[in-house]
Amino acid sequence: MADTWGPFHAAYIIAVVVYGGYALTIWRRAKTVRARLQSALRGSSSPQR
Amino acid sequence: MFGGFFAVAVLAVVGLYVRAIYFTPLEAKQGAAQKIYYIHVPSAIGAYCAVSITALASIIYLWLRDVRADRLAEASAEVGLVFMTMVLITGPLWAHKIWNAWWVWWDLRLTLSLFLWFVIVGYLVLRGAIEEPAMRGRYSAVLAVLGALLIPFIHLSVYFSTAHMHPDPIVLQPSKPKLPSEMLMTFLLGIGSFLLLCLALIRSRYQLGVMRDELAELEAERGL
Repeated sequence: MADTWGPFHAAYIIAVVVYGGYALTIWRRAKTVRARLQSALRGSSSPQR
Repeated sequence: MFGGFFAVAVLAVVGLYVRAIYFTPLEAKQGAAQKIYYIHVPSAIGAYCAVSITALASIIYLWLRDVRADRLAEASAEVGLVFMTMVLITGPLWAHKIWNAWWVWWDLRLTLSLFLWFVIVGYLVLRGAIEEPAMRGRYSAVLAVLGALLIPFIHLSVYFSTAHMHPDPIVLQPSKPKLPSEMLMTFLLGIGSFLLLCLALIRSRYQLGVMRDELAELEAERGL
């Protein structure tokens, strides 16, 4: 049987990178939006001139 | 954002990795490359699930004009793209060892899968290109429903022609599964864990959409 461990390792590592990376992008985007939301809420609650 | 549901999904995927790597026997002819099966097929099923949710949410949006349905459609399309990308990466990695070819253009299942990937990309590009929310929701919903029609063709494509490289389904078929019980258990764990991961990611991405809409609303109010 030919050595087929290479593609197996590659596939399993790439799966972690792709799915983990995508979850990370959701987390980062949420962090940015949350910060902007809080800053907008602070701005809207401050007295208008 | 990433609550207990996401943690359960991650634990299930870790469980799948441990079982697939250490507790599932090697296939006699293909060796370790066959283990790609436990993430390749579940990724495909996750992609089908996400694209189907996009289509269902799109139908609900076209019917009720509920922005929550549009938001869900967008979230699941993005997750569907990630799962479909994994299918298109792991497939050629496996094929290269077994078929001695990364890709076979005349194989209907491969080509239709790539076509579905392009449809999802097109859907997300379309959403990004239209600023007016109602028009964006309507146009993208129609594309999502039409795109999801590819799924049964992809699944059944191996039966349409005898000239294909992609193997026939060995579990998702009318008769009894052709896998040994240890491999079947790992495969079923793969399906379960990847479906959980798919739903958990859609949920997180949906919550991001909620926050974005709140921000857009607030900024619009302040702009007035």
